Amino acid sequence: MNKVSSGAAVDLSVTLGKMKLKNPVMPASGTFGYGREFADFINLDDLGAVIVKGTTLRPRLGSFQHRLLEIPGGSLCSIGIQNVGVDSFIADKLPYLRQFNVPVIVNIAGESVEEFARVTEILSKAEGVAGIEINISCPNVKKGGMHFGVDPDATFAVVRAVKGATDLTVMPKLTPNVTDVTVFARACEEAGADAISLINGLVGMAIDVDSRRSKLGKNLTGGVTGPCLKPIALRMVWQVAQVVGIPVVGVGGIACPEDALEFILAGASAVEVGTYNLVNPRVMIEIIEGIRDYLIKKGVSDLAAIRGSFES
Amino acid sequence: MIREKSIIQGNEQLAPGFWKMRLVAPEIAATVKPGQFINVKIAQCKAPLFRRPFTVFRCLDLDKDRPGIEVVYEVVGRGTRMMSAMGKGDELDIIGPLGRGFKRRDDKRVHILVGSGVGLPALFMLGEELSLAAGRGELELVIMLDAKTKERLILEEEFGSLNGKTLVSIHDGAYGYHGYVTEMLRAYIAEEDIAADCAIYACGPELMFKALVPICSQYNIPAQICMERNMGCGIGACLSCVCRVDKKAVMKHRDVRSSHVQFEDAGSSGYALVCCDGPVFNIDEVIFDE
Repeated sequence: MNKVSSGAAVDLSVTLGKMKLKNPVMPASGTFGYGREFADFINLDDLGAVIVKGTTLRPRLGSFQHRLLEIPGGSLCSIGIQNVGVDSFIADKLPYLRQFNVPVIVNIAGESVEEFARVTEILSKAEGVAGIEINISCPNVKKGGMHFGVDPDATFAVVRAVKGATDLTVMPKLTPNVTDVTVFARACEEAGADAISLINGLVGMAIDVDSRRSKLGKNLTGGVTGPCLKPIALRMVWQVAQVVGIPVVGVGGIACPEDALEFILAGASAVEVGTYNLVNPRVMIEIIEGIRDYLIKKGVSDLAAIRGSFES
Repeated sequence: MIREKSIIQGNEQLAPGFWKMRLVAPEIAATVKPGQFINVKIAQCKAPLFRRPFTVFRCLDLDKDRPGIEVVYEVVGRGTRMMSAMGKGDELDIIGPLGRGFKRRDDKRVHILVGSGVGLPALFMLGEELSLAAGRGELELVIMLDAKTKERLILEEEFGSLNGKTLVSIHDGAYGYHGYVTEMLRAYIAEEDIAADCAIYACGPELMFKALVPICSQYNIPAQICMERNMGCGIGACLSCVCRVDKKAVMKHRDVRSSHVQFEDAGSSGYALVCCDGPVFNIDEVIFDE
């Protein structure tokens, strides 16, 4: 297993709320399981942080079968936050992650403001959780899910409630399925968020013309993910980075170092790599190395020096 | 799980639309078991994006005693079309061996392989194992090969070389049994009176599995089926390839705690992952119509 080479004097570290990340690269929730699934391919210690599968108060079975469809340059998928529930996460999944020197961020979802707060309280008492990513943007859950992410008042209420339930770093994840994403980013900042991540999947669909049914079975619609999402994600990250003072984490179709650098130049402090983890389980390591090489080539010693340096 | 940069040794057409690719894959060849699969990144591109899963057809020694594997595939889309255009010396990024394969039912005397179309290759490694045991007189091997038309029948020669009885069904009656393999199977079990002492291993379309269900329950025959689903990762992370399973049957057949199976709260069913809990399931575990 190759370690990320400890290049001469390049500082890749990033601060998100109370978390100090050794580099700006982490997996997007739902594309990395609970970390262990990737242990044959990478050392989790090499990552900036680990974001685990979306977690709810009770276990969830998620969407119907036929959950994934490949589309040009990406996927249309509906997993529906299938997960083991917060208690089983703490008992069965978290102990494995404690052996690593990497901040663990738990992506949480709920059907009510109270449920978000309750999951947060439970996680805050568990040893080994550094941050909470609030999923108010899942396109594939009927109750809760995206509902909280498309109404700025609901966004504010959830973020405020989660902040009130924890001292951990709180990072809401925004949906692209809105007219003006900056309104939601501002609501998060006003509610006390420590950072903002964006974007989640765009709602999409596909029809089988022979059967006249959805190619995602009974799920009907799914989230568009993967490289084809990147231009939209980049535009939204750029918009948000201009209007908030808290760190922004860019997510959406990142597959190589250049992709990650685009987000950082647009103003992101860090990035999440999603769909491409499923294709290349070492892609995050390659991205970290590529960012370092880029800084060396440009003669820059600190990642912060290039952040937001996109010239518009 | 091993990731190998694998060099293609050969890629030949078996029948219209069907191809066989030979790969140098020493580490995967050393550990792969019947019914397991590899996940292939066909080219370093974003379209096609995901890896494609293929069950391993067989392991073999390549030149200079290098262990290799073969996969047999059907050209159905852009990815497999690209694969069919590749040749000796080209490189593929593969991960494997993945999944849970077939488990031999050593308590039974007659072992029946039931395969249709591009499902056939998934049964060959198991066939080789059973053939060795049949050669030692430990069991009887019956191989049923099925295809829509004679032109689409593949691997007849390979399966025919095993120590077993090979039967062919072709849907339009151009060759062998006229009809579906499941009808041929039902007739065979009755004629040979083997219901009490046989086991079935099957791979083919889901319609074939559904037709197997009443046969297996009528005669109380254990059957293992190799399932297919669109997969994202193949390693149990993305939860895309779920398959609805019956709780009672799953509890009977496997240790749920060491699986990825998740059940409904107070319900009688749940979801298993085809990539990790499968691709091979016991037929009574699977709920076909959700």
